[in-house]
Amino acid sequence: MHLACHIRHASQLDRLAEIPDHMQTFYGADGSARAHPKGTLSIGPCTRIYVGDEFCVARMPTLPTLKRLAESASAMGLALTLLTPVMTDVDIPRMVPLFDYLNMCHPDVDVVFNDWGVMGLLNSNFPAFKLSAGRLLNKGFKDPRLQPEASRIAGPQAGADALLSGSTFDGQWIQEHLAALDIHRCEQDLLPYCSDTAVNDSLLETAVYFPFGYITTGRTCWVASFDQPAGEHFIPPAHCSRPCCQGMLELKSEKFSFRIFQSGNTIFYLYPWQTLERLIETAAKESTRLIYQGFGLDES
Amino acid sequence: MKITTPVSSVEEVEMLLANGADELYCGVNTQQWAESLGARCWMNRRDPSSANLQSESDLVALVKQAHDNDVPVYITLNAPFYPGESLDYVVALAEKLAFDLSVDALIVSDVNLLIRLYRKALPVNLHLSSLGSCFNSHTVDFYRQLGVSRIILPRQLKLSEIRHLVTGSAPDMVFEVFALNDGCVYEEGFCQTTHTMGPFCMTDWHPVPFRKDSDQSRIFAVDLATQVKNLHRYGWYQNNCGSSYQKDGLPNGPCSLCWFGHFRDWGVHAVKIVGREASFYRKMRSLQMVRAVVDEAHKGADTAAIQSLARSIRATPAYCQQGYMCYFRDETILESA
Repeated sequence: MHLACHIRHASQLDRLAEIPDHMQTFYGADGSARAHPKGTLSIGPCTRIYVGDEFCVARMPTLPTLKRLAESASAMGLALTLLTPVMTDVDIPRMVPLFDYLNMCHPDVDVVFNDWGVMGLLNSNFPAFKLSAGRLLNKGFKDPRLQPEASRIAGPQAGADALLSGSTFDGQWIQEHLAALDIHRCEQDLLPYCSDTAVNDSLLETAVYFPFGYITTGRTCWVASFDQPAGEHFIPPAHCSRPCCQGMLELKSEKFSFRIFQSGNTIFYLYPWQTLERLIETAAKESTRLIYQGFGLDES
Repeated sequence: MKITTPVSSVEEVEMLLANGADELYCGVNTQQWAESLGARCWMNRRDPSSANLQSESDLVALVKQAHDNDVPVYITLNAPFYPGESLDYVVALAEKLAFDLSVDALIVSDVNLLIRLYRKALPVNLHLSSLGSCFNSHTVDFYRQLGVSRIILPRQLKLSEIRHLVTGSAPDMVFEVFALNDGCVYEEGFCQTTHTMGPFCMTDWHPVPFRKDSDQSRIFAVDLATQVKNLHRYGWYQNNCGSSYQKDGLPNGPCSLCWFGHFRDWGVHAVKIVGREASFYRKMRSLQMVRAVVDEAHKGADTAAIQSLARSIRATPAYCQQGYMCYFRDETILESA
């Protein structure tokens, strides 16, 4: 297993050893009814940091912040990965200074794309970067929709596991296509009803996020609307005051079978503790990269 | 500018052609899929029984009737992911649709499927579903290299972004944009939910600041109840205003009718009506509404006149004024309109 950690501020570099304790924030007393940890996970030392954001361009670091993070990581002997989100043609030129800086000062950086167009741009203009395909490009089972219980989809029939556990990056064709484009890694979440935490048997390397999987996201951001004039609510914001950086919300309902959180424009589910334990056991055997995103979402 | 119209039975074709459908799109519920996967996994994002043609013979009849009227037929193979062996079946079906059934295009979003279809070089056009999430011109290039000739743009683009993509693209790619019905608070191309997690996107929950004892709670607690109400209101508009109708029978719901003059001027190829699963009546009234505005655009009316016509047909000024019923909202263009 290789452990990486998503952070947003250089000050969080001092907390990398606290990951097991920080996880208790999510699995601790408040969530004890459904997901209480039975022990402490052994996940080894963090050797890489992830910076940036895969869901929202407004949460990308400024150039000075990126420089601080990259230089601090380098000084601590930590490898660096930059996450990138879906971008429009207006967003891309704003991100180019970040790419230029990394290309000049940290050319061996890993960059994760979550947009096929961004992949093309980076492959053409920044060939030194090691590119990874991000989790937004990895799709799982979706329809039928609006079924009240998972069991109605899974059912007792043979093949249910394949329906609920498979995803885009399992496909031989996308793996071959990405390998031909010199993409070296695919990143993913555990899908909510997957029965198996084994990471796919891929031509490419694999990374898995924990302890959250993302459910849905979008450019029309409810949290951003908290600070917007009424007439601009639910318009993808040209400029965002980023209220999401001030904390996240837990969305409570008796109908949920997972603990659900909203951070910015994205909704996440917390892996059940047993699922997380199995993931870490499996990752240790398969030399999979695991990415802790607790600090990235809970910035306090 | 063409009108791309949903159809789910042969019986609807005559009505749709009579009301001005330029292009038809539909799904097919095949016996083999039904026997192997049944209702557990949908082939094309819609209910196999109520939103799809029910047999190959139905499709043959539909294609003949449409082609006799010079109307092309597109087939939805647009699941974001085909699990296991279902992908092999869909590829085989695509070959049959192209070679034997003479359909004009396949609407696709699964990238594994797209790669396989591209390699087979079937005699059929490939249209990228909105689930393919094309938000920038580099993504247009990516899909062009996989044989896509038309891109259905996602709902969460802004008008100015549509303009940039459409006017800046080479002529070998055409664009389709949503015209009417069925929005979503989130971006469907990046949605992992089966909705089995619970109805979070219907806002049937209450939010609690994660760290109650920190400064965060003060920030988020100020007016969370009001913010939830706003989200409820937006979701209601996006979900077809509770599936309601105007007094004259036209359907309420998200639309881009006001911007058809802009779409025409930018070179948008087609506008899409959503709703394969809709009733015969809702399909008809949706098409009539879109047809009226497209006809005005074809006559050369200026953008202000088209917007005025759209608003008058809508006859729901309060809904339109709110803005939550619009696709492709954009603060810049809204100000200048």
